[in-house]
Amino acid sequence: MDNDSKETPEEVSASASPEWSRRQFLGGTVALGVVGAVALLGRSTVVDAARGIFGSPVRSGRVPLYAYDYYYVPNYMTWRVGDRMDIIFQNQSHTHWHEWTMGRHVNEQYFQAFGELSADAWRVDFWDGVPVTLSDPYKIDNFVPHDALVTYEGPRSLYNIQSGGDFSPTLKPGGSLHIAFTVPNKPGIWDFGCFVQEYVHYRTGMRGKVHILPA
Amino acid sequence: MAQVVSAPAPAPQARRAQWPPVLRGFLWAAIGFVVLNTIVDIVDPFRGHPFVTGPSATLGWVGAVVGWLLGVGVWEGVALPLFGYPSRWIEPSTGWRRYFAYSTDHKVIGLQYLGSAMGGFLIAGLIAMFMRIELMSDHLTIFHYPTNYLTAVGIHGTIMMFSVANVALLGGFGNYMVPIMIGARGTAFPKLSGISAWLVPAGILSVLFSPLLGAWTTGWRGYQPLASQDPNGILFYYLGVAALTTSTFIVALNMVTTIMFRRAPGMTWGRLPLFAWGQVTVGLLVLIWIPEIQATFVMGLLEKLVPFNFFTATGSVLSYLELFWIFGHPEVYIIAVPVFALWNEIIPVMSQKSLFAREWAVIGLVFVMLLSGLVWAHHLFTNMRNSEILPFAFFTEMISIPTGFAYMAAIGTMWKGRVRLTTPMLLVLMSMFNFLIGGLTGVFLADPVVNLQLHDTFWVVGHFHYTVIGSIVFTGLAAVYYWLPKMSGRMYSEFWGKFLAITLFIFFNATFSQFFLLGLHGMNRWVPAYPAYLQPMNFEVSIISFFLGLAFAGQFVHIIWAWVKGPKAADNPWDARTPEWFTASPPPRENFPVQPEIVSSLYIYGAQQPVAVQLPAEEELAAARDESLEPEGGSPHE
Repeated sequence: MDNDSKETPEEVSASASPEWSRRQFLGGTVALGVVGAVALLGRSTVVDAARGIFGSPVRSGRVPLYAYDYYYVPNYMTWRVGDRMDIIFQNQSHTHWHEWTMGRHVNEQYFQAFGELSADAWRVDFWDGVPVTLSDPYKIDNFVPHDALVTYEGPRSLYNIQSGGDFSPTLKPGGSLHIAFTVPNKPGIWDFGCFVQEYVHYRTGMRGKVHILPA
Repeated sequence: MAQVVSAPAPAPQARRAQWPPVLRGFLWAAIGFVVLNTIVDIVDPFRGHPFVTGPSATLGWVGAVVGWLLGVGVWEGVALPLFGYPSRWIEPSTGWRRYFAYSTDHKVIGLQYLGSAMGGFLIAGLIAMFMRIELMSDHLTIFHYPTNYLTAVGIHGTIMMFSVANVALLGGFGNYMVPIMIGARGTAFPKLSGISAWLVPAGILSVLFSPLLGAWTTGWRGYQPLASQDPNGILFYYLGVAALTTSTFIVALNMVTTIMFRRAPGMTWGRLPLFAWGQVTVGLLVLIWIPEIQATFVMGLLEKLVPFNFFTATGSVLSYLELFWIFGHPEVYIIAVPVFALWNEIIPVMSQKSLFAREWAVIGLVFVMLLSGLVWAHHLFTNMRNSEILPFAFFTEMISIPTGFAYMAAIGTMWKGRVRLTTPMLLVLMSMFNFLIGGLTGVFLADPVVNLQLHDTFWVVGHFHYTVIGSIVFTGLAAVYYWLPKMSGRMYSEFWGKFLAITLFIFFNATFSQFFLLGLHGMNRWVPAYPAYLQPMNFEVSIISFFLGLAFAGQFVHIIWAWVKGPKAADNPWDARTPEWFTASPPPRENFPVQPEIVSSLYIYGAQQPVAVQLPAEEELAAARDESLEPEGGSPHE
């Protein structure tokens, strides 16, 4: 209790010790603060701007689409009208059911805390009138064809076909489905998302965009 | 304890320009994150190869924290000497730069804790302002989805609880003042303590930036299994809180050990200052309950990450609630006990009157500590059988008795004293009033019949803010004003201090007293949208709360002004008797020129009272002769 002073490190006055730059410190801290604020509040704007500048390669043929809690990989794709697409949609979550719906204009009124939730969130369903071939169903919870022109390969019972809502394959954890189609003549930006659990997945960021280029 | 190598430095060559430690900390943190994140991506690849996944972010975070700590100075100060490498690290003893780097001086560490607590308070307070803007209308406005609002509530609560309430009085004034108050010339674990201070910014930033990984909805309690339904943002909640609670744990370890083993000669347990007693009791609470909640949070983290079924299929949903609140209620006393202690530290000084019933004030602290572990289930009354409720309702009402001892000692001391109504005294009285309101409204909640009606309403939010802001924030500000002359050598403006304190008191009460009414009218907590009939009152409460925010900002501006530009203060402006006032302001590196001796009680004021603290004269002379301040061999103790 009494040899306290032995334990203190060597000291010198500040003037003798190497000093770092105050300007660097303040400038760097402010810069980091700005970067942090942008990362927190303006991430999607920055990503959109970067995609606008650098573009994104056109995908066709076999494209895996993975669903996690709660995001898609990839969450941005560029397609071209008339290309043949083979989307292998796989649910990689260990615990959660996920679906893939695509359209335009979500009615955000539904997301208020009160009021009823409608089953079809997209005002425009991308898959309306689109010929689609489904195959290799595995752990399908349900599938809603809505107004798509669907061809099923294999026994239809495996797809557990339901009605109500948008075109939406819903997979159990670990499930997968092969969705084959030719990109219809619907160019522009389309949104996709997962509306499972009363849109909670979509709200928390389980969404993406498809940019369809004209032929 | 190892000493930093003082090998002869090589000839003063042109020094490489040094990075500011904080910036180097950020750089090394980024490198640490990327390296560990990438390793996890390689070992545990996700299909589609997303760069940041739950597991990779978790281990990447560990790398980031290690990088951050090393970067702010632990590399030169601890790591190199620890492994036997020569380090030319020299700790500056003056200058503002030492506050922005790793330090082993408990006073610097204390101010680092106070600074990060203040930063956390401003961040979380700003978020509270956004919450109040949202609640001005009955539907979602500035928050896009309810989840975003809940994330804001969670960040506000987590930062306030784990980086402000737990840290300001313990890590801040505990580190700064307790060693001086017990006449010690250092703390027991200066290096560990130096590291732990830098865990606080790491924790605050982890929680603040958790939305980068996704929203989370559990609030500051991290409730499972709800948390497992959340996106990965909840991971940074668990990790950030791990950093913050570890920091609190180290503070407690350091304080309890220091108080046990480094008291000055003559500083018996019977003479120990009240604030030091507060630190011992709260330190024991922390040492018991923080490991418990850390284990629970690790389970919560793994539940989400692996995932396990600790709290769902193989466990009960209630088990997490029980595990949380068995820490959660002692947590309230981790906040409140140092506050009680401070009241009875400041009041005798400002009344210039001996502390009334000192033993009972101490016993009150100890019994609050003991009983606080027996009341947790009153947070779960709605989930319990009537037969289980009774003992918890009983102990909950019981704990108000030792709490009352703190009031008794405080009021007894002021009774017929010459009370000087300075700013710190005013804030202490306000704190006592606010905490009383918080306590009385808590008695309603402790009553199961009423609880079943009031739980989950704004009544609870009002009660909680009265107890927490009422106690730690008002008393914390009182402590800042009380010790400002000691820490900075400067004095605040008594007019502005009082004016701002009164403003704060009015707006605080105008805001939070209405929470009780809102709760009685049916305003639920945890909702960004609510029935329309509650909108006018919520609107008006929000307006007042913005003024409350301004009042806090005014306090901080005034304190910073006083610190930098205030008039010079006298050595002992309050005529206090505790040892911290028997050294220079601000205190030198080793607190006292020589080892002081305590020769009488510190709380007896009156005509015949001798000086309580003695600095042996011959040693002082020796120290003055020998500028190198070699250890003087210590004074005989025991």
